[in-house]
Amino acid sequence: MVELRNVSVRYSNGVDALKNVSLTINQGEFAFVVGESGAGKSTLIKLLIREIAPSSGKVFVGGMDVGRLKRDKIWKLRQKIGYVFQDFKLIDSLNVFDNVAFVPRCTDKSNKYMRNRVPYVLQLVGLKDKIKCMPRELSGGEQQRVALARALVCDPALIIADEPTGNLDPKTSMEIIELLQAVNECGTTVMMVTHEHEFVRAFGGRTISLSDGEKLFDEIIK
Amino acid sequence: MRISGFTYLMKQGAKNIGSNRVMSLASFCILLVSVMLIGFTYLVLINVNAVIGDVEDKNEVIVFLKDGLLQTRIEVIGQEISAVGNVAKVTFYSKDEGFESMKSRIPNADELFDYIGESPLPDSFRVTVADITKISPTLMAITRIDGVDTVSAPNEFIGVLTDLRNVFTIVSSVVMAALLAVCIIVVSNTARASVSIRQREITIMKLVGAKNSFIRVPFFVEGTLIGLFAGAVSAVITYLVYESLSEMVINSQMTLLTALGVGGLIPAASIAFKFTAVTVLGSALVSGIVTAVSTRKYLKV
Repeated sequence: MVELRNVSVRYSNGVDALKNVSLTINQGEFAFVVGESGAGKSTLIKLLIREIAPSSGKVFVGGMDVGRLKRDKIWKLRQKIGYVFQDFKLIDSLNVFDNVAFVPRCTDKSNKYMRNRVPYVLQLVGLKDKIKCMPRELSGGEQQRVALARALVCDPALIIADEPTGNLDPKTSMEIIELLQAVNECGTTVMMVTHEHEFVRAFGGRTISLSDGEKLFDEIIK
Repeated sequence: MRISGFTYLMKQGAKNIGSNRVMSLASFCILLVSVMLIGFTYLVLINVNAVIGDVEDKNEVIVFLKDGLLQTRIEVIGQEISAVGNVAKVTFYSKDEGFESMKSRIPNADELFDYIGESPLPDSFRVTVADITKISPTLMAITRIDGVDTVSAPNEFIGVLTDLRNVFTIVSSVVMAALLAVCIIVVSNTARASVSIRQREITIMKLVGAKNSFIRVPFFVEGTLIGLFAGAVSAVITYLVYESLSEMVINSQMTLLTALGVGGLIPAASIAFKFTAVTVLGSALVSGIVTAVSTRKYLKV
């Protein structure tokens, strides 16, 4: 599902954010990507959603050569990915339903699809009763659940969760990771980026560690 | 795109106007003033052109014939003048008609005319040219006709009128183009400010896989609607002001215009439909396109 072949990224200011990184995440896998600030986690995500292109090497997502993707075709890649942001990135002027329905609208899905699918994913994340609430009326955990529902609504092949627990308390963080694991059990590939090693140790599983732009280890933690 | 998707984008565009009231109002006011200024400049241009055209139309070229020509030859000359390109109308004036006309224009000179007795004027044709700017080659062609003695034409006056029309057309076109450029720049800046407020929203849309067109269409709709309202209000104001001005011109019997035989401004009703259509559609299109283009910078996510 995700493949990096000898990928390096050098920013215009001369900083080497990733140095010759290779990794593969297979279809249906759940992988944690861990590392301290400046390790290259954000750069890795930016590569996968084609916010930036690699300086050298190849990046493949769902079989697409991301580095060769033209700017006006990036939406095709992003529609394959469900993205959960650390700061939720909900649209304040839209209610919960419309925030989630926003993705199928962007991807030209039918009204019928939205009417059926949006309540379904909101039920999955336990927010069906908050369907008409505005984001400001929700707690941090609830907002992250809405963001997760939004990432799930178009049934993507890959979910990238960028520090999804960064703004949440430990209990809510656990709930969010459990939700991501439940999604993964249904067959969706999940890549969760975090700097919180304690969650990784608590849940275990495949863990890719980055440090100073290099892959430190890639192993299964039990 | 599905109809439901299209309807959604239209609704979003309309909704955006309400959500960004201050910026929408700023765009509306700027467009209103700019479109009104362009409209007034255009109205001045077409009226000045019409006035000059009226004056030009009243200019006749008098073609004097040589003495002693037979009536059949005179008729042939009339046909030859008509056949010259750029000639709109040819009217024959006999020497007696010319003399009678002179008598009527000079009162209290009966004794003088009695002394003169027979008409001293030659037979003549009064020729109206179609395009006054091409009068010189027309006159040359008429002069070459056998039997034509001299041709009398107000060449200098016509030259001044033509130059005046050309200069005015250039000046007003430049003014309108400058106003349009100012309008585009100001609307573009206002739109950019309005778009930048929604930068976060645009970034989210891009990250979840929205196409650029999906993001741009509501902005285009928003800009078009603001332009449509501004164009409509501007057309109404311009129409009302123009109509009042028309009445003022007619009532004041402006001496210069009446001396030149010009009745007044072009009637408002005769240009209302075309003017309103161009103003409203032009304003809507410029505003819509400029607003949509202003999103470009923010789509590079």
